[in-house]
Amino acid sequence: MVIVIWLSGLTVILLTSKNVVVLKGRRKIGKNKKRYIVFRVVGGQGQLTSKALETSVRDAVKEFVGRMWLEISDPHVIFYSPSTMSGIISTNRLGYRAVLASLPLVKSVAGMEVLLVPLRTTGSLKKAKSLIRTG
Amino acid sequence: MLVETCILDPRLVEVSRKLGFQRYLVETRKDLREEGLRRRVTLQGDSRSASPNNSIVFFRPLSRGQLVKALNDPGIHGISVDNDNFYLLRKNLLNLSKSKEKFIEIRLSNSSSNVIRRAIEWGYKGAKIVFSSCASRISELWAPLSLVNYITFHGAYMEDVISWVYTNPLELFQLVSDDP
Repeated sequence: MVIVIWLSGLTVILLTSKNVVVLKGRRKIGKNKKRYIVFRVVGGQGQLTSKALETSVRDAVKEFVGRMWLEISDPHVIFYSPSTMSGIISTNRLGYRAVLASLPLVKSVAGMEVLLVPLRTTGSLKKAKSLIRTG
Repeated sequence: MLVETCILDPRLVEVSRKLGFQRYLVETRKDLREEGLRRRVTLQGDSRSASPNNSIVFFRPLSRGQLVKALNDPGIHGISVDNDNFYLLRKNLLNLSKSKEKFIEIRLSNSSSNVIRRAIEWGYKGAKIVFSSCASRISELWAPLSLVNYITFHGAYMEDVISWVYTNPLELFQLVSDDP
């Protein structure tokens, strides 16, 4: 009896590992965790606001990859420091590449010619803020 | 070491340094004395004016005949490609460019996603691809992290992109020496 249970257990493990049998509920979608992009603004003499930056970034993402990826990546400028001219964009693991690739397409913010330079991407807001503080 | 392979305005070198580049190819006919800067010249069409010594010479062909002539010219280091002339580089001429060890430069300022996609195919076939911003304004510059993700987003493998963005431009920069 024990041998039969043992052998049937081994069979199930073997078949599922080789994808011969797919158990119900096996497919999982990974959690779309947050990613934070630390960026710096080059150019742009006047005072930029995080709202104006966010509008430009969202327009650039929509221009490059379209509405679907804009909704997936959902970029928001959650912090911008005019003194250091650096800020943080919040996005997620699925869409952060789309946001990074779209940043050069931001040619101007509120009528001022600027360049957004991504410095680092990180998974925690605390780390992103410390990166800005250390410069 | 990161190399920016085309800057049209020498004043952008300082800004480019902030983006993380350490070496620059500047499009000018003047002498460049600064360390880390080298001169490049882009010839176009039938204009074959003498290029200065110690400069990297690119050619932007506008017809198939010009492209064939440029690929066979040992004085030309690379071919400059954008929306207007990418269709000239077909299979046999791509093979010729590989055998002649010419670089293929993609001008990002005037290249659609279709050109980028074709360039990735050329890169996979063994051509030496470099991506140049050819910036004359601040907003036309490309940060390296953005560039890598931009090409990856077009379907390229990360390891190949790294070689196109880091290794090939450095190889191009080292083609000519600083000595007069």
